[in-house]
Amino acid sequence: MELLSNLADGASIALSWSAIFYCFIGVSLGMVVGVLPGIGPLPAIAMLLPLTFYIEPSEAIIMLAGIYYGGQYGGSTASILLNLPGTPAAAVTCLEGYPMARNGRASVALFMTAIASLVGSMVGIVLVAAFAPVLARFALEFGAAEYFSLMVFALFAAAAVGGSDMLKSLSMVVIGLILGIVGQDVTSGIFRFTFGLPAVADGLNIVAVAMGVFGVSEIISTIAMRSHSTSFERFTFSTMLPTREEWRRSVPAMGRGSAIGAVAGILPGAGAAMASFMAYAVELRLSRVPQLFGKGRIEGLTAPESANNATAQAAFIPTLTLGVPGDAVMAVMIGALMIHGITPGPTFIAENPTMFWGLVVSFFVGNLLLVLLNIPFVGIWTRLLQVPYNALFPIILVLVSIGVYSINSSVVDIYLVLGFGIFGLIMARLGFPPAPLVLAFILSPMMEENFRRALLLSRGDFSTFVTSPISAAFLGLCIVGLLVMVLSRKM
Amino acid sequence: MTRMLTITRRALMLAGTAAFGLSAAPALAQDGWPQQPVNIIVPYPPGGNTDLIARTLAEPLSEVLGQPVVIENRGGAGGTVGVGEASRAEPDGYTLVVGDIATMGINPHVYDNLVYDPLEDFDPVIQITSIPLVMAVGPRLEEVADLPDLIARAKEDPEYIDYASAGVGTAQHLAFELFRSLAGIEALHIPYQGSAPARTALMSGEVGVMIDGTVVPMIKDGTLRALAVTSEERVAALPDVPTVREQGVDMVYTSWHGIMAPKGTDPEIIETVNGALDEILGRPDIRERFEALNIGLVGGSPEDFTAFVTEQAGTLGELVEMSGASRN
Repeated sequence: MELLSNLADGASIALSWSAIFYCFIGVSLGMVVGVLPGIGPLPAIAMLLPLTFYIEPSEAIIMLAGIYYGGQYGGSTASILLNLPGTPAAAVTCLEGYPMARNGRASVALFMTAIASLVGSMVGIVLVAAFAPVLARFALEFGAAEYFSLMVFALFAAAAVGGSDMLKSLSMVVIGLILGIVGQDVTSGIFRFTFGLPAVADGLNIVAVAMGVFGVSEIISTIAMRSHSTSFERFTFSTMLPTREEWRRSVPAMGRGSAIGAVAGILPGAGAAMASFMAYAVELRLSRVPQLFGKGRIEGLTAPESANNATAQAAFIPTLTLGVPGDAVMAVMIGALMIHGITPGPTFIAENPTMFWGLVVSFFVGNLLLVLLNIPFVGIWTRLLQVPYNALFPIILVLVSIGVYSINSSVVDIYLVLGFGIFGLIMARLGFPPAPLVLAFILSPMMEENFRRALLLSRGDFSTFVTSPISAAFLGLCIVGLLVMVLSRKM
Repeated sequence: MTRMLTITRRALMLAGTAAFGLSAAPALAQDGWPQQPVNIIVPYPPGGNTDLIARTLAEPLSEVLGQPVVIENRGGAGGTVGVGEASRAEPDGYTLVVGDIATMGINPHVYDNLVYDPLEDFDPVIQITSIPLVMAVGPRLEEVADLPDLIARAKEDPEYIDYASAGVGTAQHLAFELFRSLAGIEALHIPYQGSAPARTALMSGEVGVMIDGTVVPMIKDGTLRALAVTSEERVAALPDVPTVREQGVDMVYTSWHGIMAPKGTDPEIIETVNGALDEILGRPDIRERFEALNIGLVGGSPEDFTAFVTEQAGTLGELVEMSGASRN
């Protein structure tokens, strides 16, 4: 019952007109920057940071948070319509969302994405509200060995994401791992494979890789083959509703996705991308018709969408209660609080109860606003597909270039996105799936860093990976999964 | 290389004419500048200390100058990308950069092919901060009573200390190496990607100790324990924590930030920016805001800052050599 009174306290902050106003500004701005491919919430938040000096800290953080989770809603739009993942997590959305759009079901995909996002967010919020302080302890249980084994497990799942040909998926995993080595080595500080280019000293830009192998390669391929075969639909309100059968498959998928996303959100650094991939892999494994994945299967869309939104909400747990930002956006959020003299950390909730609970209630408000904002747009977005591609594609390529440039203000990234577009095209023609490459690329630097750190800490003793129960459990799961695969193939 | 040389020569000529202009017509430059927004390059992504400092000062600075002051984040490669870009900017006063102990003090000794030289390519404008670092221990070294105790235990067991840092060749890494060598002990360096993950590892007990500037809030709420501060005198935020020197190790080490302008910027402009910022740094509300973050404000003349950067270049060079962090 303490929870209810806390929430009532929070409501008194978050339901004031000014708080709702700032929440609305935040989520709509987040949605807009999310829709534009490549332009993430980071520049928007950094730009609004000075503005927050002049408003109430609670309202400032409500607005900045809105941009963060609002971006998760917008991010899927370009993935579904154009196969353009603006964030690494949205790469998973492409896998089923884009085929759906090409089958003339873009409006269903967009509608269900909004619903799945709402479900995921709600699960994440409830988790934050009920268990934030307890869960923060859980994050501290994860050291170098645990993170490494978790990532091995995620990679194992990635190989499953690619489709039927395991060998081709695995080779893309290996390429992804190798590409991830580029940049400064954390353990020794040495630059690897940077060819003297300062622009890649911190590694290849993940958004450039993801947008290249998915969207740009698709655009090149469409232009080259003159095969833009998206079937257009006449949009009415009823066309965006899924069939009863699709609802039946989507609901449990959203539940599973939300659970995976919520766990990933608690671990700083694991991130929305890993959660989305895992959620997708789980649906694929559980499905009785895995051969239909990749052709517009709705549970393969809704599960990862729920997952990345749950992650976005749950990520506030380590950020606020440990002072550990999961990504660059959360780092700015912590900065904004510090300017107001509020320090996220173990005593944050106890010292700032109204702010914390106000923020939690504003999550509810913001997510409802986002769904209300998104659904009317479904019709407009769908009509975008009717624009002739010789007019649409140049515009998109310009937007992609601006988006990828905006991340690091680096021209090299524009060449990278083009290069990876061509690379992705060749791979697609040869039947190699891009998704495992993207996940392996994300995980590669983290995996190596944690592997070497674990061995540094254990003075080179490899048993550190099995003496920790959490680490041993993840490695055990991989072995069990491997056995199941080998045995089921023999039968 | 030729390009570098021509730039430097042009910069020198400009600097010469500017110096001449100073004696002939002191008010000229001030009348004209600034006529458009002033960009300040922050060579790190948004959200870090450097970014916070720049954004907090940009607002009052633009009021004083009467033109918008725009913060431009150009992160990458330990700040060398953004500072490199600033070194190539026109020295017209419309591009300034926030330099710090890493980009203007340590990096020249750590990177072989650095595209800039702190004092060849920049004119120091004003020192903004001096940040005392704190040596903190987490739950893993609960039994350690104070700094002499830590040293004694480390002398007994050379594998006793695993220390975290924000990365190889960062100010925090060098600080611990300096301490290690002065105290005559062994310690294993565990680098992380920035202060935040290093702090988490300290809180969870993955590592035992670290020297960093961002741990004060965690010390105040009892999650971490401070053994010492690295500044010359005790700091206001932690009055009960003795300095390293008080505890028998002769070490003083502070991190810092300052504004630099591309070499050849009109000294009048530098004086204007220096004067504006010096006044702003003295304001009580600004002081209060930074004090809460354990950031000391400095100020002073451009000459003071130039002398300081020159002095730091020597000290940090020796330190890098000793730490073995040299690379690339």
